[in-house]
Amino acid sequence: MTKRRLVDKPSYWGFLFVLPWLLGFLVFTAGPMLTSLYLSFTKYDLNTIQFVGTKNYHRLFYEEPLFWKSLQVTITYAIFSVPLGISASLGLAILLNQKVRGQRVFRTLFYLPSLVPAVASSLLWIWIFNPDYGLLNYALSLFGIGGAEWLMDEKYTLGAFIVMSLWGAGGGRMIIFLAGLQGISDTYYEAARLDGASHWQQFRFITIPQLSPVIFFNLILGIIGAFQVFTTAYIMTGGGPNNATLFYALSIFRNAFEYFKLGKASAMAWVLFVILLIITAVQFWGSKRWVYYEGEAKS
Amino acid sequence: MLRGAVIRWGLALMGLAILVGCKSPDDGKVHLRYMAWGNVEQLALEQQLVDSFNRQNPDLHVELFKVPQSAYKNKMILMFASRTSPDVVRVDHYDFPQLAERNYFHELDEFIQGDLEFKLSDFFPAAVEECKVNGKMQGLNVLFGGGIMFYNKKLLNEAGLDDPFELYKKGEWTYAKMREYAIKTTKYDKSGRAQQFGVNMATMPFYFATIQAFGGRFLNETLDKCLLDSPEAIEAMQFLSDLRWKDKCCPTPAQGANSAFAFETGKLALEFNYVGASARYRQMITKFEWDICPLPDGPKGNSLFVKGNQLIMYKETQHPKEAWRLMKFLTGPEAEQVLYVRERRQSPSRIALAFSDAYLHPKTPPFNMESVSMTVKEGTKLPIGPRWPEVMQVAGSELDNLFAGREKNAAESMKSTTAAVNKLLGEEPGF
Repeated sequence: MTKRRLVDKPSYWGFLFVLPWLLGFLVFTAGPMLTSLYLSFTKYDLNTIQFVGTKNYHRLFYEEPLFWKSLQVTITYAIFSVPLGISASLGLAILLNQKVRGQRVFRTLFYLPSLVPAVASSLLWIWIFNPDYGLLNYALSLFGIGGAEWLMDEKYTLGAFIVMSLWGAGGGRMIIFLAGLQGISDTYYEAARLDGASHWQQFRFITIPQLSPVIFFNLILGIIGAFQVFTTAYIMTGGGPNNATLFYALSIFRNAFEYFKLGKASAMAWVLFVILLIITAVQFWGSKRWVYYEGEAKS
Repeated sequence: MLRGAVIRWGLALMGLAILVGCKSPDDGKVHLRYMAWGNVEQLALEQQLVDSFNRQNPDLHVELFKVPQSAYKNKMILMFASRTSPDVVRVDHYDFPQLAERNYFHELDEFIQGDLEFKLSDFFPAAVEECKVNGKMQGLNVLFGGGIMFYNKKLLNEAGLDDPFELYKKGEWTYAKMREYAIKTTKYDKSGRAQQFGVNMATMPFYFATIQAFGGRFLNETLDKCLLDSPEAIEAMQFLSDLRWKDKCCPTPAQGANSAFAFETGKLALEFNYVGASARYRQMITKFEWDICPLPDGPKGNSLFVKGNQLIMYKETQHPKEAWRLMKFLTGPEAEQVLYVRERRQSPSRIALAFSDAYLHPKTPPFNMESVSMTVKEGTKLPIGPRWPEVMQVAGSELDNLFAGREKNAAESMKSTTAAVNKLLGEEPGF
């Protein structure tokens, strides 16, 4: 039996073609991740490095009020913005799935805002939230409601960010919902209508279960995204007023690149990683109860 | 066989391309990189100076490395940390002590002492002082300047008020007078909506100037203790807070949002700012006359302060002597003549130029350039230390409560600010 040359093996070519990605992953993702894990146990100021054990973690948990503040801000934001955003995207997707005249034009129009760069949309929202000349307060005044100093009053600032998160409701998330909706066979709805099901019942017992894998997917990505809010806070409020919008990612950035506390920032990044890992694991565990995959039956 | 050859040749070509891409042009010149930021006009001037230097020094070639302001600090830090920094870098003084502590800068004393053409005594003492770290020169001052006050002559005339610069010359330009001016030039319509304001809020670092004029200090000499809870500092901050919340002659954050009452709109009578804003105002303001005067005096002295940028030489530059020649040129009379006398981007750091006839008597506004020369001559250095970004983050959040009106009592606000800053300064740095 003749020995096969390496280049004749199919796996050789497979690995060769995957190699660019693999190298990129090792150099630009896995490598920095492991480095940051090591850095989280050091005091590193971009010049000198000193191993300090778990001191960064200890100080974060026991002596750093801004760590807890940034966590509180980010979790509050996630709790409100994720369900709101998913509901809005689903609602839009359902509307844009209706067979009406100009359907494609509407789909394009609703998708457009997500194409605006975050910096530009942040500047736009600064104008919308302007207390004196802003559109939001003007709209509220038409209903006799007094406006607020949205970005200047710590009571309202986080709320303003949650409202603003709806800006992306017509983006990629909506497209995924739309694709999911189009994948639901009409036969389910026909059978339900024959049985006398109302629109709400069709939505509750056909659309939602059929879309549940898509909802689950968007939920996971939505929560991860909510924990990574940075650009809008950096541009619009800089974390203020009075740290009311000190999002976790902004806090990491400041510690790393403004205060040169790379060790502490790395520790914060790993805490975030563990939090997201736990939340995602819990979601996967919980998903067994409510996510329906094709051909699967739940008791 | 063929596939193997293709792969080998491909890799060889890639390697060659990388080598060629990394190689400096072989023109017999020493190549230097100089990094700076600025708006379009500033960068055009920098390029003009670099071109002039290249023409005058045929053995060198300097490349201006431009980085947008928003990304400048991050880029600079990462280049220092990764040992890929340009040979000469412009650093904002807010970042200078913090970076100097990390040992990124070349000490310049050996070049200064060995260069008979270069005399530190030609420069304002404060400009030299800003560049020292532990008594050693680690930079040369550029874009040096200080806080001044812009005023809208039209609004002051309409209110029947005397020229502030004339008052300054008589020793009558005080914070009390400024408050009187601000109140008299503020206008609201019948519905209570503001039409124009007297003065803008003195943001950082201008409130340090007010504190100084009232006899207080932000930090002690060694920059390790906050002194904002002194009666003088409290009085100063209460004065500023009252301009906004009691006298209502200074726009609130909501009223001032989106630059609604910026100086160039003609709806603001007095403005705390740097003289560097003049270049923009000359372009934008066409409907009213304006000029500048020094910041007002307070009960315990003046409120003049200075701040510049530093040109630094990267510690690991391969061409320190050549880098020094570039630095000397960029802070020399020719460059200062272009940047400050002709274009008035800031103040010259050279005493002779700052008091030259050409600088003091320009043909376009602002005309009262003596205000700037006096400021840089007598102004004090800001208390910027290696932990400045952290200190200002903590202090800024606390002081924001006062300026945003959540806390109207300056004594309470200064007490909490002092406690927060002192707590930070008492902690071990780096965590």
